[in-house]
Amino acid sequence: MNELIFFINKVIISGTIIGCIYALGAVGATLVFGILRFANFAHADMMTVGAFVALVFVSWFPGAGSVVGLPTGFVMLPVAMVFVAIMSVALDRMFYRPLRERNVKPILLLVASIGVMLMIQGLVRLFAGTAPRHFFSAEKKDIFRIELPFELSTRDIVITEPQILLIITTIVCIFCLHRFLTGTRLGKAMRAMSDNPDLALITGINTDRVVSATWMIAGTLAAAGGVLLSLDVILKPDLSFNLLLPIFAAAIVGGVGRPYGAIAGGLLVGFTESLAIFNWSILLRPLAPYIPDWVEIPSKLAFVPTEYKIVVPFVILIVVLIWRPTGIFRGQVL
Amino acid sequence: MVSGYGGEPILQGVDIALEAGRIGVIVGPNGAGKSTALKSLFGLISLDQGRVLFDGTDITLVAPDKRVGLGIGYVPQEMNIFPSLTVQENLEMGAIIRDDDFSHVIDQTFEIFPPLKDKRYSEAGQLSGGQRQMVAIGRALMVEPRLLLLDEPTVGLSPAFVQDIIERITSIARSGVGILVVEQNARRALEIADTGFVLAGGKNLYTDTGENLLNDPEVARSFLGG
Ligand SMILES: Nc1ncnc2c1ncn2[C@@H]1O[C@H](COP(=O)(O)OP(=O)(O)OP(=O)(O)O)[C@@H](O)[C@H]1O
Ligand SMILES: [Mg+2]
Repeated sequence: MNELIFFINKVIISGTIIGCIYALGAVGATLVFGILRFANFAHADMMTVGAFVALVFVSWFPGAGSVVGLPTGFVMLPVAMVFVAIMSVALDRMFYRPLRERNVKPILLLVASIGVMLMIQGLVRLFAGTAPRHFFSAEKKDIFRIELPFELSTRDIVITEPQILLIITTIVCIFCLHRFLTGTRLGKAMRAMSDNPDLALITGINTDRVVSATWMIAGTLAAAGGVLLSLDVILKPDLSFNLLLPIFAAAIVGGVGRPYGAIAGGLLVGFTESLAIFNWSILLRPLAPYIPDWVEIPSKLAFVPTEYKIVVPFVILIVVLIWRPTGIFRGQVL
Repeated sequence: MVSGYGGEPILQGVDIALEAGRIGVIVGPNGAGKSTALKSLFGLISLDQGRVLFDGTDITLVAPDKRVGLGIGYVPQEMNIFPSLTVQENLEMGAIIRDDDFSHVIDQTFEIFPPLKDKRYSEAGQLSGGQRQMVAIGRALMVEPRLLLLDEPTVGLSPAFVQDIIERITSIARSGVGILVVEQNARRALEIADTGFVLAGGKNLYTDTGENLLNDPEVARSFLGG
């Protein structure tokens, strides 16, 4: 029984958590790609910025959380979301729009985004240093232990307050996004422009507005992902480094330009990663009496050692694209 | 009009005039410049020489999306729908520049194209070729245009569908919308044309009533397959 609980903690919960984070990042990246036709390499850094903005506000208003009974970092989430949304639009005006107006090829926008990525990384280090930061240095992190009513189980299912908030927030964000994309004129115009930009233009869709809205949504979701991730683990300036690849793997696997695909892709990459680094020998332990003596169960039996976790998105990418070259949700042809 | 895509102009002096509420049909061999003529009228490519007049006003320098607002609908030859949007959403996008209530226009469109009504919540990309053309035309009708530019609405359709679409074009015209349509099914299309334009090599070869063109042995031999 304990083994099963271990599995739930390490795979189901961990996989959901990291899957939600990847989903939040991948949705924004895929929306930006759908509208502007370039892979925004600075996307994961917008997540880092969101986290640091929240951290700064936590240091300014350390007591804000206790007022409402939630972690202060979480209370600052809306502030971070608004900040990054505005920053995304500002970056577009400064760097990407001038290029679009010159009708450059999308690859140039991608190169520009690498520049923006390096710039953001530099600025974050300049203002925040390189040391890891904690959201819970002054506050206590609530931990929930769920006991299972089985005789054999002595361990509990463990989930922290930030993790629960993370899952709820992700669901709320995705629900709002869904309502926006299917229920509002601007949202439908966004899908239309992603489908067929030339037709969108001659239909009279205000493409400038759609572009701004896309950046705002991408920025908002990126900030949410960044804050929620660093509430769960730790905030380091190189947060984005470990996010960029899985996010793009998720976006591509789900079908480029398909927001629902990106959510599915994010969860798929998250779960697969957790499964890949899970130590399976623990699940084999109860079977020990039935296994002949000469077979030795290694103490560590994972598909991939934790340090090599980063290869997992690559493998998923290759496998899915062989099976379905345009991604699960049939995205745009790259 | 004289226009092209940079370099040597493709249209080397094409004249197209249509009275309000009439049907004009442009026919001609592949590469004659038929699509280019429609794009020039809609403003997608700018003119090297010549003018575009609509209702007596010079709109040569008006951007295409603004021409939609003036009452000109344009349906391109290819990629003329939003495939991942539903039929209903495609129509709504057609009305994106409208601020008033346009639900009656959607109903009218479903009256003209009944097959779309059953499919209104299906993704447009999942429809048959003929239904897609209906969505494309329906999208352009949403601004209640006074002039509709259609680029080969029957391309790739089976003969029964071709007849179907052509009949609907006549019924749209009867409701007072001027229609300028490029057609490969020249004979069929000229039958409904008030005015026919035969283009070749970027020039007007013949311009006459549809009936006269059909009965002209020269035209019949060169462009209508005998
Ligand atoms: N986007 C473009 N850029 C450059 N040249 C083009 C472009 N589109 C068309 N042309 C050229 O313009 C000429 C006329 O093309 P157009 O599309 O107007 O012909 P069409 O009469 O519509 O033919 P079809 O019956 O095949 O549709 C062709 O020689 C074509 O090569
Ligand atoms: Mg053509």
